Amino acid sequence: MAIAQLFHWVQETGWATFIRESGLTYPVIMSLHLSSIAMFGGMILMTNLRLLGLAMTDTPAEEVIRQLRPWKAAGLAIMVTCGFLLAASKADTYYPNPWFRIKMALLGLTILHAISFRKTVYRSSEPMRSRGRARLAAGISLILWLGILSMGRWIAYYEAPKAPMADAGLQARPR
Amino acid sequence: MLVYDPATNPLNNNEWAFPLTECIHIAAMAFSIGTIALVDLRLLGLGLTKQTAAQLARSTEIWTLAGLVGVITSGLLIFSSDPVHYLHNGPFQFKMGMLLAGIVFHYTGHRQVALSGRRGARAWLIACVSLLLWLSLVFAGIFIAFV
Repeated sequence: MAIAQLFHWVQETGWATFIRESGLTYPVIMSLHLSSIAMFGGMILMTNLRLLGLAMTDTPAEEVIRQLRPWKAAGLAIMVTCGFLLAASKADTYYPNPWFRIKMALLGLTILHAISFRKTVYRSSEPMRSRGRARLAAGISLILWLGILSMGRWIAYYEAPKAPMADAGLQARPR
Repeated sequence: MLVYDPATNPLNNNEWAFPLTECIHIAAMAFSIGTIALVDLRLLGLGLTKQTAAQLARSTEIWTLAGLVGVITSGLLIFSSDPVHYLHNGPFQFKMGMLLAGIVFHYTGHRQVALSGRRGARAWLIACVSLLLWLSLVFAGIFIAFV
């Protein structure tokens, strides 16, 4: 299949091979991925808690959204870049991994979510005008991101049906 | 005599238990470090600048605490799955030292500066130390699996 070949081609590029084979690069990129989850995740959480009316109620929701926007964008950019590099270095095993596919689908849904609530919540001058809608946007966002986080962890636990024996014994604990 | 055998630990006997605990660990990590980082950014004059650092520290503290409780509880469970392995692991030892330092720092110097509304070099230094300290825990956590 064409997509499988594309994944294989990515894995065989010089930089993807370097990440896979160098001892330090892979965990450093993974740490950066997790660090941006810590920073970016905290911002998503606080934005959504504000929309739910559970935190920072002394600041208008539109201010919270507006001021965190550039930071969330930067965090997302670092997170996605690191995630792409990690996946690319092991693209052949990621391709058939169902958890990886679900994660990508959920990431696609976050784009749909952002578009759906853009006018009424995230770019609105009065995001709390409809409390129900603000809560719905926040709830869906939290569920999507928790799902993405969980799928990311589960990727490491998938064993392909015909995993080579040599690979299986390499690590005691999935990374 | 009481002997603990990790093989009896449910985390080692259920396909879902270990990864689920890790997910809780990561989510709670994001809650705790993420909310602390928002206060750090504010001390640097960045991010949620419509609120004072004191206001932000007060509105995030309960979520920081909830995150810390979650991350430490799930961390203890993960630790219980293979205590001997972790105790002899360099990054783990480093991580525990930094965690202790981080908690003490967060509830003393960091909290004091955030609540006092002080600005300037001291607030800036406290924010940088806090960010570096907590992010070093993230790095150490990953490196536990890579040594």
